[in-house]
Amino acid sequence: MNLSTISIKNLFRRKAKAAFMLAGLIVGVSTAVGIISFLKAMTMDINHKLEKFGANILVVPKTETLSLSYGGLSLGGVSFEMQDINQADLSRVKTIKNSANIAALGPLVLGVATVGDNKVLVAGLDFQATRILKPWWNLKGAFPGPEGIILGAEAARVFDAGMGDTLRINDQSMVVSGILEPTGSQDDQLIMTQLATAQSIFHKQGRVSMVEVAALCKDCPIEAMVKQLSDVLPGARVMAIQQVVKGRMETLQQLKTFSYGISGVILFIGSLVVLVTMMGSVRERTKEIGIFRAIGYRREHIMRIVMMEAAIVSGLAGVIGYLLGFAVTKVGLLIFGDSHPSMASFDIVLAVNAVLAALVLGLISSAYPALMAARLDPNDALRTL
Amino acid sequence: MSYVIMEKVSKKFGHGNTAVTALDNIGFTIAQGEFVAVMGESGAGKSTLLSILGAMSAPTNGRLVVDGMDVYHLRPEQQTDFRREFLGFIFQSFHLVPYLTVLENVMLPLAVIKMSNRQKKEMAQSALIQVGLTEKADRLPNQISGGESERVAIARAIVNEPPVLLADEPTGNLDSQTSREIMQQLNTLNRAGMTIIMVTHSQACADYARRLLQISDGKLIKDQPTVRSVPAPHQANNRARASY
Repeated sequence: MNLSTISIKNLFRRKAKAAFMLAGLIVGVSTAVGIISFLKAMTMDINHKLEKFGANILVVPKTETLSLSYGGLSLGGVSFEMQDINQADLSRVKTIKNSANIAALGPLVLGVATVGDNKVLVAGLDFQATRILKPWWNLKGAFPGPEGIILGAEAARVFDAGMGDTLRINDQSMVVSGILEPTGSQDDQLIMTQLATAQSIFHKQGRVSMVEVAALCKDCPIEAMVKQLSDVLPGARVMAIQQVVKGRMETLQQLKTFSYGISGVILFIGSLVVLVTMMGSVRERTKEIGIFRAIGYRREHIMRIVMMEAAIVSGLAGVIGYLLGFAVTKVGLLIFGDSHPSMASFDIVLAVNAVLAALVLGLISSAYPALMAARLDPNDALRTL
Repeated sequence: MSYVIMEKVSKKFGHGNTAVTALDNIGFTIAQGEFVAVMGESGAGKSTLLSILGAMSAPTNGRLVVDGMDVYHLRPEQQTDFRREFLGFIFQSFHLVPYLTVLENVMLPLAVIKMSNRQKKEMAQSALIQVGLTEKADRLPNQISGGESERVAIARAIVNEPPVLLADEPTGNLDSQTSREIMQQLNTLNRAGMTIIMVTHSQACADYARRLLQISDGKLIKDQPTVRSVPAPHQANNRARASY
């Protein structure tokens, strides 16, 4: 017989109140766990998808002060000679440690060509890699052959060209095989052809202007990939497209912050349930507490009885809440996400944190009622008898 | 030798014009092993006296000394410890904890003592033997009679063998037959050496005590031996010797 016996037996005696407290905390914990687990699974999925499509690393020639922004690039304005990257060097990329993380390698040749009276930026691309690097492209027509071109939406408008039309690019006749739907990027203003064709037009055989890389960085930081590529391409500058990475992370971070906020509110409500229930319980037990004090229980003993009750309920709520939240996540992923439920896996850290959080909240919420109980004057309590 | 000394004790509630004097300059001593009854009409100050004796209400003036300790000079938590170690309480309405078994109720004072569960159980069972209720150890309070509940309350009060037992109307809710049984129980404890201070309205119960303190309007108006219908151990022995 010790103080915990009193706590446990009182919980069993007041089953409805204990169940109410338990339910309040379970709802809070399971919601928090569900949101966090769901978000974690979605984050993994989003990250995976984002990394799979779209370049996140650029390889550019090592030149001085070349602000080669592929967005709004003005090669015509550069007053010094650009170095190119040796295309043969790109085979070394296969030898890096994380070569399996490279989803696509897209070399580009860029040059300014004349079409009629206009100067236009022409890009030579590896269209196989482009399918992975630019999945948002919506092409009307077909990718070009060796003597074909595709036009960006704006370029097609400026040149008033449609599919099957012929454009003379640097005195070379090329047939328009396809036109891109507007992308909202600089691609709209480009004329695009096969890599070898552009190399021929601009006399850059065996050389490329830059390389776009789509790296899957789920299991390695992007910085590691950048370092490895830099090591095998000493003549080039390798950099992560920070905007892409940052933007991705910021979006996810905002989502996380929002969900943590919601979880916090719900947990707070759960702890209010504990507070109110425990206060009611203490008021009902005035007599009992009076007896305890009269027979020699110190204030700390009374507090321990009350807080132990809260701790037992909270600990149980943490365990059940985690399991329920985990189950809800699995179901949620099945119903609402196109992610597979297997993406939600048992997370021991989250489980432990869920139980600890429930315990801490339960103890904090029961502190005031416990103090109230401990301060009861045994005379006042006995007078009510 | 005086074991309990109440010295010029007064207790006032409230302040100024609305102050109420519950006890007025009360003083008495009680020897170890005495059985004292405290009587008085309602509102005389008996409960106040008992709560002061029980280290639960500090007097406005005066002091309470038990076994040489000035009780109200102790810190509050020390007063709590004093209650646990020196005093046993029997309440009028038994006040058993309804969700604990009879045995667990008796063990209540031991729950805060560092001792093995086995030892606690043995002490509780020993107390139940003294009151004759071992067969009801696993029952809940709502499964036993009023008299049995009072005996459980007595067992709880004596489980840690306190030197002083404070009883507040221990037979107040019982019929006469059961009251007699309870008083005999208290008598047995007294004969074993326990000091008992009992508040009662009943003259029949007071007759079990050896000394009567009469309180009226907060004042001690009478302090005299009782005419005992049940002889004290030493008196019974003297009568027996006298018969030779």
